Amino acid sequence: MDNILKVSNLCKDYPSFHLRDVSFTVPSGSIVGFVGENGAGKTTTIKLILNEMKRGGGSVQIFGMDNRKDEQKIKEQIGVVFDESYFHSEFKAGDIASILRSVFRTWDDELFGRYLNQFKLPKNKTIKEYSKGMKMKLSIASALAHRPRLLILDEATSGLDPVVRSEILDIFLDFIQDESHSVLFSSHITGDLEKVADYVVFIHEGKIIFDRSKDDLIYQYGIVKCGPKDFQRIDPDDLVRWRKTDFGYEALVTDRDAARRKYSGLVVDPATIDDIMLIYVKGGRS
Amino acid sequence: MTGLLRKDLLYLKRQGKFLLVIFAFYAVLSFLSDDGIQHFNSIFITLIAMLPTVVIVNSFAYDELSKWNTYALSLPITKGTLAFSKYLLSFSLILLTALIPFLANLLSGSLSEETGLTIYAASGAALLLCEILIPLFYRFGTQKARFALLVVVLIPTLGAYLLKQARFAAPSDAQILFLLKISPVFLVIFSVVSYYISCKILDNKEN
Repeated sequence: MDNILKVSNLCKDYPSFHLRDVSFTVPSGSIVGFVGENGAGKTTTIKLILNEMKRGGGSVQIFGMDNRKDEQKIKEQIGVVFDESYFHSEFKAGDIASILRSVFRTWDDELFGRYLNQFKLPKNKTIKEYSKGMKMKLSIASALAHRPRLLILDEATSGLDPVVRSEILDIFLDFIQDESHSVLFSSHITGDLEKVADYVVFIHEGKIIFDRSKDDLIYQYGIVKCGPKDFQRIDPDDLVRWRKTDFGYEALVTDRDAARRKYSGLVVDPATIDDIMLIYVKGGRS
Repeated sequence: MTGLLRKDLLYLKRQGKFLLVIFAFYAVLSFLSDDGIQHFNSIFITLIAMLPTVVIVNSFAYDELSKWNTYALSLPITKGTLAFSKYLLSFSLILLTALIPFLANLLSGSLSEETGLTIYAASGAALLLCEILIPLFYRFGTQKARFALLVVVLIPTLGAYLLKQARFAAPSDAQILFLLKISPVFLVIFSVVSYYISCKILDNKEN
């Protein structure tokens, strides 16, 4: 499977924050969830991918091209949706089309119109009259109407109600039905990623903690829940991270079936992405 | 480029009715007065200097409010094109506002060399003002740059006052004419330098 996006050793230094050797890939025909707490470096990474800021080191390849040398060619083929609508509130949907028609050679008015109908977005209302969900759908329609191959979404579902979020996730699933399309979807709402992502890249304090298939995470990872005495029995090599709670210990293991066999009598629950994130951020190493 | 200009013209369209009312009001007022075309000239030549500046300030303010630049740079638009569109907008607006008194004078048969030069001088001043403002807006954002606008407007006033206090002899008509003749070269150089500075600022800016 070809990689549509390849990020290698990306670095960026701020006085109080450092992005360090960020590397991951987005394979063709997949949705990659880019997850991390607020301030972990998700938006900085996305802006570096889009060459909106200067990087300290590393490289970004999109469609096999360098994101700086072939920036314009690449941007003709990507759609970007940020966490809020960046269109002026006095504009109407038709105004957005008239602007973007001159920006993208492949802009398709008919497709844009179809998305407006599908998302039930009124053409005669200004953006300021739209709800937050409608604004986000308009941003998505605008990002899709030039038929991009890669969608990059930065917290696009944050602050939306579950019904709208579910509708938007369906759009992404529909988008990757074409195997040559991919989605990089940054979010801290891990439930959304569990529904749609094929891979999960977890960033914490500017470093990539893991880049795994979602199925590996939710079908193989587990949380061992036990008291202090049982916790001492667990081989430190089996533990990825652990944390002390009011009720005892929670320890993350990469193979929950193996852990169940090895430590009979201990409770080993399936781990959600939320659990994994939390234990990585709050927990300690073995 | 066309998309960026279209976006700014859409902003302008939203304010269009208000601007048209002002234009119509002053046009009617001036033609009702005894010195018709002179009154019209004094109002519209002042507008040449003011209107493009107001529109440019508003366009930066709208862009900042909607975080347009962050979005625009995710599109196939370079930073140079982003900056150039503002220069093109200011130039087009100055040309358009200068055409109104020029055509009014031409059609009424009262276009003199003096009026023509005054329209040209006002246009040049407006262009100079926009070219100072655009890099300032990119560097400081609209809130801080609005204060810079005040300083930019005050400096020539203060300079003129100080020269007067120092009993500096006012330039002769011939000297003024000479300055006006060489001014296009100066304006072109200033435009290029201003555009280059804007590009540099945008290049170093973390959007």
